[in-house]
Amino acid sequence: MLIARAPVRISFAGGGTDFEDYYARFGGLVVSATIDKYIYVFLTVNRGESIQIMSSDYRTFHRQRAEENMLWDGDLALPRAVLNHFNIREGFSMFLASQVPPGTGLGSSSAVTVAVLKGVSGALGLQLSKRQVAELACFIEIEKLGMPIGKQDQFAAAYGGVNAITFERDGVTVEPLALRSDTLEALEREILLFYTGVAREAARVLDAQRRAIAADDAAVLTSLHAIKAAAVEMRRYLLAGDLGGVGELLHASWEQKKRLAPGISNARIDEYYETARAHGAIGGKIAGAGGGGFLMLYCPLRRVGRVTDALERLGLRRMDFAMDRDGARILVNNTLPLAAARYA
Amino acid sequence: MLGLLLLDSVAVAVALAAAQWLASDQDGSWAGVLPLLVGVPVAVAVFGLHRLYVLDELFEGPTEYGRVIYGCTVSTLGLIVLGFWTQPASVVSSRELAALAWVLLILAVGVARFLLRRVVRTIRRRGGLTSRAIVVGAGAAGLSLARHFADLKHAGVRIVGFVDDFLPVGTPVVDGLKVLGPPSSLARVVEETGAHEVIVVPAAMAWESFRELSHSGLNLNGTAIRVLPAVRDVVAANVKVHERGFLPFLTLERFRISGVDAVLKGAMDYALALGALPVVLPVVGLAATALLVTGVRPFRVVRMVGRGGTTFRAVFLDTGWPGGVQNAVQRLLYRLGLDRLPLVLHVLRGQMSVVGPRPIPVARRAVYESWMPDLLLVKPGLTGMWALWDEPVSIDDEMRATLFYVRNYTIWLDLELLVRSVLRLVGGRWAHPAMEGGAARGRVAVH
Repeated sequence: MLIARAPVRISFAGGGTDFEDYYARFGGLVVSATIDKYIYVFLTVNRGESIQIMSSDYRTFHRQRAEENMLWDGDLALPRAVLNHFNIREGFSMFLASQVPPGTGLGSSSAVTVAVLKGVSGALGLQLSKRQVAELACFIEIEKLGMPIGKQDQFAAAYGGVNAITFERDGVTVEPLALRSDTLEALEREILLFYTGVAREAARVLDAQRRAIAADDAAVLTSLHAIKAAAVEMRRYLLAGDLGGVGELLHASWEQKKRLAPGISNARIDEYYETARAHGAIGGKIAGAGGGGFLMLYCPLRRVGRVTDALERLGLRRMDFAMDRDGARILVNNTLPLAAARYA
Repeated sequence: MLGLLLLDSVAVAVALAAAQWLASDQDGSWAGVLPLLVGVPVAVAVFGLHRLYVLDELFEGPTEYGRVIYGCTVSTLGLIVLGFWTQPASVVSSRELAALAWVLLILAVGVARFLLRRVVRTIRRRGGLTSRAIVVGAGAAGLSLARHFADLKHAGVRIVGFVDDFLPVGTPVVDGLKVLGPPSSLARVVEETGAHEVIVVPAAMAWESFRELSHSGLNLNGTAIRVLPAVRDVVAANVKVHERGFLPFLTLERFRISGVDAVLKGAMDYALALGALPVVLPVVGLAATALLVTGVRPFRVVRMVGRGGTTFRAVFLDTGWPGGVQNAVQRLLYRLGLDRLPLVLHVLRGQMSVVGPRPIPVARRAVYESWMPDLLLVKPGLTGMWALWDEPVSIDDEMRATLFYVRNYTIWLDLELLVRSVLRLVGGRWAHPAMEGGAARGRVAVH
């Protein structure tokens, strides 16, 4: 058996500038951090003549015999695309489990791809670097499956930690931010994540965003430029340990982000956000593409209790977390080398 | 290190001089001593070759003494060989001298090393001569490792923190020790804490972290890296390291106490039991007669769990405790703790030991089931950790102490417990050790 995991992430600033349509022309920058909530992949290599994939989150089971053509659709498209990339058609059984609900803005879809890649490559005896895993995940999701997404989630999940990720036409650079230990501890205590209970289809929001960039929508581009500038500032604030500045910047960025595409916010999200601000939160945003999922807030420690109580009265639930530092990892690997021989 | 070299040199010189003096019929002739002293550098060099100056491998366990015997044997042979080249002023002038030199070398160096161990252990108990260690993996195995060294101060290892794949930085693990970072930050953590060694617990860490550590661990600036085999999590069985085909194997012994330890413990058991018989038999006879006179059957039999899960029928004087109505004689016998005297016979039958874990009745085995894998590795004892509490303790605390005994068995620990037991007996505190939580309920006198 092989167990691999990849973390989900919270994005502080820069979301949207990781689209190729944007960064190929202007260069992108995202500041994000992975947290200790993971997508787990359990892999067993067997002598069967099919592949089997089970997902606890989607309550889905997929079995496909070796001679059947691979169809890439449905909830299990990502793991199937990874298996197809390695030309694995038989003798693999995979079980997926997530510590966060799917589609909640924490980059869990890409974390699935990264975790499956990590697991399958490990079972095949390949030793892929963090960069190789991230780039392969981007290729499978964006090129192979044509998903309208950026590249920040794959790099965050593969690398782990708090990073400033720069996107350029000729490549991606990951800069681990060497934060002071007290800053990291403060982030864990003062960044709050609330589950709004509203899962959403990120693809529609992102597709609208991507088309707006491609069409040179001036308002959207102006917003993205401002978001990128905010990411530069965010990096500076984090390195300086100025979390008050982080909060203010989150608030300004959220106001910018809402202009990117319709559906990023709605009346309910606005109500949650205003309630949090009224009780002491300095700033925040809806995690990920928007439309629902996790509401991320920065709140000074002395106000955390009040904000939590106020939002829980509105029906939200707070999720405690700590920072992840290692990114995707293989936790257990007892697979036989026969996997490598079988699929060579 | 220098002190150790000096100590060995003195011990070797004393042994060789004594051998020469004895071999020359104690006539005061020291003529042969000077040539013989060439043996000092020879012996020290041989000791060095036999890893008797690798500090990491000293002061613990019987291996060091084995190396001393081997080193002294090789040194004596070396002196004999030198004798062929130094004629006529032979270094070793007779077979008698060679034999004496061999015996006295082993004795002198062995005693010197033994005394040094006592000194080192005393210093370590006071916090000196300790090695600061980082544990990689803060799971259950890592936690028990930290507790183990906290209990075993004379081992000279002081855990200063953990690195872990699964717990956030700052998480308290045990006794104020915290997670200081992930395994990927090990080099930094070692530098910041000034650790001398890293103890890796593969069972408590991610496979990938272990693989990366095995590749990069060689770059920890000379910090010793030790790997704790996962077998320690399962049982406290005696583990021997063997090399087969250049691979290190851990062989599990069936019982915890084996080899020299088993011989010494057996000798102590039989010597003490036989020595006690002249006192025990008359006392048991008198007590049984007194019980008979009061109309009580003098003996009762309880089926006990023995080493390896076997069972045996243990005989006790019937004091009516607990649950029974006691007459005056029974009360007296119980108060004096004499109901257990017949158990001495079970020591002679090889079913029990003088020192060991609490004897457990088969009827109460279920209560101790979670500790059984460890308890079954040794014989139950007439006395032990369990018999030396001043206050009632919980079954968990008692078992923790008993497991410490099983896992860290040495003949010295037996002797220490024996002395403490005798002092209690002399001090009139040989009562039935009680436990909290009613663990002692049931008609079993040993509880």
